[in-house]
Amino acid sequence: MSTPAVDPLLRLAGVHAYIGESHILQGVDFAVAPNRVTVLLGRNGAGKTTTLRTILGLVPAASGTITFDGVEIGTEKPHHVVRRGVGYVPEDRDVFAGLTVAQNLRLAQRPGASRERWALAHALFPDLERRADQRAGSLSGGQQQMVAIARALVNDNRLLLVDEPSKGLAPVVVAQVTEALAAIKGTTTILLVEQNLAMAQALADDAVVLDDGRVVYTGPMAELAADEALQTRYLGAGGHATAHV
Amino acid sequence: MTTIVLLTLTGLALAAMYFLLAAGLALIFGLMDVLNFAHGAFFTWGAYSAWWTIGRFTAAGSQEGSTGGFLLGVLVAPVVGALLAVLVEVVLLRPLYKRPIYQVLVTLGAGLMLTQMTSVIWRPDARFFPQPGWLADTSTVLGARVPNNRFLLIAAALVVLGGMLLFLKRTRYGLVVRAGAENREMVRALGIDVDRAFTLVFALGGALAGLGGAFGAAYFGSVEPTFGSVNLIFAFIVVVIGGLGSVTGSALAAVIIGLAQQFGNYYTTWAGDFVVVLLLAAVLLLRPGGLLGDRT
Ligand SMILES: Nc1ncnc2c1ncn2[C@@H]1O[C@H](COP(=O)(O)OP(=O)(O)O)[C@@H](O)[C@H]1O
Ligand SMILES: [Mg+2]
Repeated sequence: MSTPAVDPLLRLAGVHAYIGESHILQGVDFAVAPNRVTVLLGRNGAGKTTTLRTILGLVPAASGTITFDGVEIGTEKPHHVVRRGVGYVPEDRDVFAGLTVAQNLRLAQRPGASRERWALAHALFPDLERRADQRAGSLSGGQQQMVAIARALVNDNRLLLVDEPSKGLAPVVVAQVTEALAAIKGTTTILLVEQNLAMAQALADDAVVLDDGRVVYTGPMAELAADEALQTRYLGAGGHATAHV
Repeated sequence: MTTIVLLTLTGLALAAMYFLLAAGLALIFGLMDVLNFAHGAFFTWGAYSAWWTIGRFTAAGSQEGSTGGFLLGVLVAPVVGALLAVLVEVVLLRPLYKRPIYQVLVTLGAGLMLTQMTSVIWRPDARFFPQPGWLADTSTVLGARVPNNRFLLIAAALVVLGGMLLFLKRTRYGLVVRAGAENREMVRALGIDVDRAFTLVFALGGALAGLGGAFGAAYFGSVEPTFGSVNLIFAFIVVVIGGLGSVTGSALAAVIIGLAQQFGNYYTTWAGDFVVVLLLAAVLLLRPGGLLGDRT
């Protein structure tokens, strides 16, 4: 069940990246299978966010290759990568505070995006419809997260890069976000960064563990969930993350 | 009373000119964090291109310019301003987006060079701007005889203000500009070509500066190379007082500065610019983000 025979939608091979002088990604290799959820785990500072930003081209890959649907995208500009069908939900949500909810979503909607996607995003987060004309800056953290996720959902994306969607949110909101991601699972490929192991377990099929800018584990999520030693070693002390779902 | 009406309308016309210059500066700073010191040169070039155009249609030595020539000049000036702005942005600024100090130097240098070119091509001294009779004529408002070019300038600024607010609130590019002012990275991550938005904003700012130059030439009745740099200082003050990046703030601040200058200069020989500096100091101390700025 682990490595499906189909070609991966996304593959990173020997990717190195720097932020300023710091060598952050030191040869990252992993693949993301289509229509599955792959969770990227690792302690704070392991390089998870940098990995997502490198895939998008926001951080330049110094060497190595990034292949999306068979095409090398490692040297492309962010807007070209995104237009291939990549949606991004950043770690700090980064909604445009001065724009309304509807304006945030309209800005995110790329030319040619289908109506169904717009409807889907609003069906998953009915709050957004009610708050369409409210400034995004005046929303709660949970509502901002919904805007951030909806921005990625309003396009016909094939890959979603979602960075710690549960961070700083109340459990009810985490549940709602989890539900929304579960609803699109199977039709959209998701690369999810998540520290909340319960959420990771609820959603992920495959797991990749990053440590100090290198991949130290790839395999089925179920296997990782069962291996407490591995968790303790790479995901921080105490294995507190082994929450039961 | 007549004096007050005259000073108010003249002050508003001056404000309109500052606004045309400041609106572009505010947009450019808001989106790109670039202090564009070349902006005054776009204004000067707008003034000269309007002057040159009207000169093609006006008999040599005539005091009165042709209406057609003036209208054409008002079209040519923003085009020239936009072209120069695109040139500066694409050739000089684009390679330097990660190096802000160099941006300041490069826009300053480009501004000086473009200004110098006008004095080489058209002589360094002031040249008379032959405006159409109806524009130099006066209309009587509450007993005050006000030159018509003041009204034209005020009307143009109002149209530009309305147009810019519509652009920012209603168009996709307007949203890109506002969102980009908040978080450029995230706009990129939505698949938007931010570099293209930069060029567009620069072109828009350059066009407004060029237009301001054309109307400014009518306001002053002459053009000279230092035209832009003198007004640029006040435009920067307007942007700071209004709030960096806020177009409505710029409009409000322009009105305050224009009126303060006119009244100050009328009643004393020294207070006009002094009041402006005082206002700037007060805003910087009490509201460092500017009147309508949402950033500090
Ligand atoms: N803008 C930055 N400047 C310098 N170092 C950074 C910057 N962003 C991240 N880093 C460093 O890069 C490393 C990886 O960061 P990040 O990818 O954010 O990790 P994670 O998302 O796994 O917590 C960390 O050591 C962090 O300190
Ligand atoms: Mg992170």
